[in-house]
Amino acid sequence: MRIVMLGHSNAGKTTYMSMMYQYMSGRKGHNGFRIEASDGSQHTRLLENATAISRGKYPDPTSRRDTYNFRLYFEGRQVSDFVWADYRGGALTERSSDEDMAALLDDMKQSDAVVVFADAHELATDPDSRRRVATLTVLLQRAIADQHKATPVVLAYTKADLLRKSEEWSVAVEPFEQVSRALETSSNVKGTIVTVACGQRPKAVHVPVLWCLSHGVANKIAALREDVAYWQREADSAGKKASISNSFKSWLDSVESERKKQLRYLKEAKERLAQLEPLLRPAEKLKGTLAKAQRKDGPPRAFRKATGR
Amino acid sequence: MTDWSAIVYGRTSVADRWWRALPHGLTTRHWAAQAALDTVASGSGLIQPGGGPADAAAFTPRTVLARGRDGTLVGIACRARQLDTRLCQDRHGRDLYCFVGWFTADRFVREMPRLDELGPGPASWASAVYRQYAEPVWTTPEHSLSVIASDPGPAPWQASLSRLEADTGGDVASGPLPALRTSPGHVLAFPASSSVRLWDLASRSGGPFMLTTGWQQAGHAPLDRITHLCAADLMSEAALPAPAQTPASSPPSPETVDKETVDKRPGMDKRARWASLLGAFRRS
Repeated sequence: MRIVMLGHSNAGKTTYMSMMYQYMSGRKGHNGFRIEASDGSQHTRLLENATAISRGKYPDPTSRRDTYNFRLYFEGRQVSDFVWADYRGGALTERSSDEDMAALLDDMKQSDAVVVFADAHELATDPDSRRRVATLTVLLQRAIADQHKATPVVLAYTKADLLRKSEEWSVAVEPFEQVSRALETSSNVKGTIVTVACGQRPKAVHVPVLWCLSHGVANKIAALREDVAYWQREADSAGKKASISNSFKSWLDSVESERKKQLRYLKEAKERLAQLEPLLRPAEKLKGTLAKAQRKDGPPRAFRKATGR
Repeated sequence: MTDWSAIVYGRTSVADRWWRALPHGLTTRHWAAQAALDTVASGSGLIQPGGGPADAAAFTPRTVLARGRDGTLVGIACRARQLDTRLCQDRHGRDLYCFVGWFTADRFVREMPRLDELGPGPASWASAVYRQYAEPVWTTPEHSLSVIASDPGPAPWQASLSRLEADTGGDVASGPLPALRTSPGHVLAFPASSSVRLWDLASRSGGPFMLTTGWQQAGHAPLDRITHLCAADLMSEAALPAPAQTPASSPPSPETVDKETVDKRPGMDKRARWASLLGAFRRS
């Protein structure tokens, strides 16, 4: 699974990654789910960043696209691998021929999930920020329109703890209003809007990543179910055609007999079923976890008042 | 005298654009530009953990000396504050990091700075080059920025060149250099105490190689292009496995040959099958 993270410069992407990782890679993780970086140096870097953030020192600006390789575990058992691509904010405003922008457009087409970060505080207080996020909203709308499967898309407002009044939230969310409506109504995506705080008192940092993983796992289950049903149908069809004469004739003609086909198709179905079964419980648990997070870690009252969500 | 051109990488106060200057004809995909990025390594470890921007003793710059098939690169990655105390923060107040280096199309050039002379400071020539390319565009909006093609000129480390000439009686040799020892598939990693010795050796050796010094942790270094490194967390020389290069195209895997496949070999026609069947009947 490939998750692409977007956001303008200083939106808090690297800070989010670090705080999310510190929380999710901890001994407890969240509700039995844990995330681990498969690269030791990334693990160290993310935890060092998180420690510095909790002391009030925020990460350096990102100069280069970073790709993190993670593993999701549920109750100690590996559920899925996933890749998280972190683009620097400036890539959003480059020409499409520039290296990072070209990679970003390519990545968007192949992504299984998109997480967009918007700095709520800057949107509320800096009138110029509206212009800066324009490219982001265009890219996001394009991503929503281009998806052919139910792709999870998260719009995450960062620095949510810095906004107290509904008037501030009204200003902050205005540039994303059209995108928000598309997220809620498009059949192409599984969209959600979350507010996160990644400072010394992190809030809801697990929601964006678990939203993506929940739908990613659900998509994988659906694909595996389709595969199982397909191979089962093929096996049934071959079974109906299987006979002694077909086996003998196939042997003479050097072709695979219907009986052998049936066994091969059943083996395929069994293999898919073996991949599918360990995903079912984590998928259910992820759903429940997210439903709980919506109630417990949902947007602040001022946000709800401003947006009616 | 060899001509060198500046390579400068570092974002400005307002624009999240990082390339400031590249030599004429070089793109950001050229190995020298990529080597500069590897030396920067997204800024990781350029300041000691817990060190603040005001704490000069906490800065841990990195240097690179690399030779490719078409030239030589020498440069330094450091906190921008070490080169200029005004051009060192973005508009959000975040402290910046950067790379300043020089590239020459001569792959056997001997006119190299000594490692201790490459250290940044307000008076160093690295500061002057950084200012030259960063200051005029420091507040320029993103859409008006472009990468400047730097002009070739004499090496800025004239002092060390004079010394080198004095050491060799004014006769600086030319022509191919003996190759630096490398280990295919590995990065040769050394303790920080070997930095000066290794740098001097690399200055007198031919490529291709990429030597970087000044790492706090060897684990911070991206190992795709680096062939030699010096890191403070190493106690002795080590050969670190380099990441496997992805082949352009994988060779096709041989087809699985199982019993069924053997029975279906094209050479075994119907007549042979009848014969084997009759043989089986006779045997029974």
